[in-house]
Amino acid sequence: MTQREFTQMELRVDWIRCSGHGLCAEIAPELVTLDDWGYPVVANPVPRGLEAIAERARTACPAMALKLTSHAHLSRT
Amino acid sequence: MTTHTTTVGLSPRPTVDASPVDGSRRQDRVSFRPRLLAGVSDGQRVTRLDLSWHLAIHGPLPLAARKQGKGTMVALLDAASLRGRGGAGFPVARKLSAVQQGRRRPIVVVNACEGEPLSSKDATLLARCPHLVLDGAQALGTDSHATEIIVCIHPDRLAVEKSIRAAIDERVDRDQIPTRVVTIPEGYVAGQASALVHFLNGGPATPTTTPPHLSHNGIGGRPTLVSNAETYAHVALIARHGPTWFRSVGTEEQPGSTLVTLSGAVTTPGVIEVPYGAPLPWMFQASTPVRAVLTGGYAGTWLSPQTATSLAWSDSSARSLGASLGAGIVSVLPEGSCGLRETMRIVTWMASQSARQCGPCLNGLPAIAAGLTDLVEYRANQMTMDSLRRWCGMAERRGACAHPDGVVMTVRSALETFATDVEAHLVNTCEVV
Repeated sequence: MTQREFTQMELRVDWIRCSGHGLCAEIAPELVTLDDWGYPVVANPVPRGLEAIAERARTACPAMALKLTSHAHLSRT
Repeated sequence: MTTHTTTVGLSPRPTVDASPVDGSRRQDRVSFRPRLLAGVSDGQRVTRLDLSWHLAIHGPLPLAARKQGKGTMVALLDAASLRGRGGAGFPVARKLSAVQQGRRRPIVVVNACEGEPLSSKDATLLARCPHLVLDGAQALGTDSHATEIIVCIHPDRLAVEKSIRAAIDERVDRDQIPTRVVTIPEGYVAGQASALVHFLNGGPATPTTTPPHLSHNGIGGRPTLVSNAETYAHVALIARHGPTWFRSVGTEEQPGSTLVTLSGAVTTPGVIEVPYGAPLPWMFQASTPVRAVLTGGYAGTWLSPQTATSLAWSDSSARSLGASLGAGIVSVLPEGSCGLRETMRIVTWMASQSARQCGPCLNGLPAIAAGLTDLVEYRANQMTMDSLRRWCGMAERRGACAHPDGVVMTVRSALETFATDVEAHLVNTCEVV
């Protein structure tokens, strides 16, 4: 894939807040899968065209543990 | 030099042949005089340097380092290329500069918690030369116009607490910035910088999510400088002798000296001071034949004797060999001990030390510990090994702090260094216990 197909955005997990509800993986399976214990594994950065889905996953999180950020270098997911 | 006993059994077992392995003989081709530990030991007796002794050996802090709010230390520490000695190795000048850019007056925190069981360098500093640490904190504090210095220590180290409190009392008339001692709850992650600040802010001693960065939003929302105790001791000497003196030992890339805690099958367990770039074989003599060397501590790396022999004590050498130096730790596993069993003990303890805040750490570390236990107890098969490796990937870099990352590093290096033992354990044999 060329770089143009990705945005600068990243979905970041606040691991202290996240309690593994798994809604993000339901809403955005293209971006989020779950690990053996139900915690999100995020494929970053967000590809172009999936920004709206990423935003929906962010707002749906019951623990408010997801952040959408454009600072790729600060990411720790 | 004294050291407290460690919680796992890396202690040497008596063997018939007590000669060191090739290359582990102390070679005296590097000459180095201790800087931080100057005057602490005459080779036989170990002394605590009270204020008068401290001044006799190191002299007073120069006036320039006692002027309020001058902001001159950043340039000095930058010229010295001093890096933090808590394990992460962040440039101290950059951290200090960030703190000084805040609008509000900062707070200086001396981190001497030392939750790592194989480390006792900070305890040694505070117990033997507390004034060096306090000098460094005063120098950075006055330079930054700080309001307060807080020395954080772990409980149950009575000699350390007694020594640092006595030192603060001794110099109360000389110091410009008030200093207090705070005892932090026991725990491996309690000494993590954000956990310290969390506790000092009235919360539990557990790590918090970054950002916000402590350098502009720490204790009470104030800029907060958190550095390791040894870092301040180096600052005290750089303030006295300057960056050129500091750089006259060590490597060009990593100048200066550093403290290392030796344990396990060595003839002289305890804390030593070495210049960066010192060959590992120069640093200690093994008391028995060596099976492996653990560098960096519980969040560290297992090295074969061959790899360990070619290691020089510097980040660049460590990087090239895939080793970690951590906060300056060398522990020697004697021949006849099972490295997988030691790793299992380490990981089981580390799993118990999770702050239990982040899912991948809370679930991953016990899973990894259980997998290793199965391996050690001959209950593992290839599927166990696949799971073990998958869990390592799932725990790594998926937490608020680096606790799981350190555990994963230790496990991966164990599986590599003890690869033949892994195979032996999978077919129900192990030559050692």
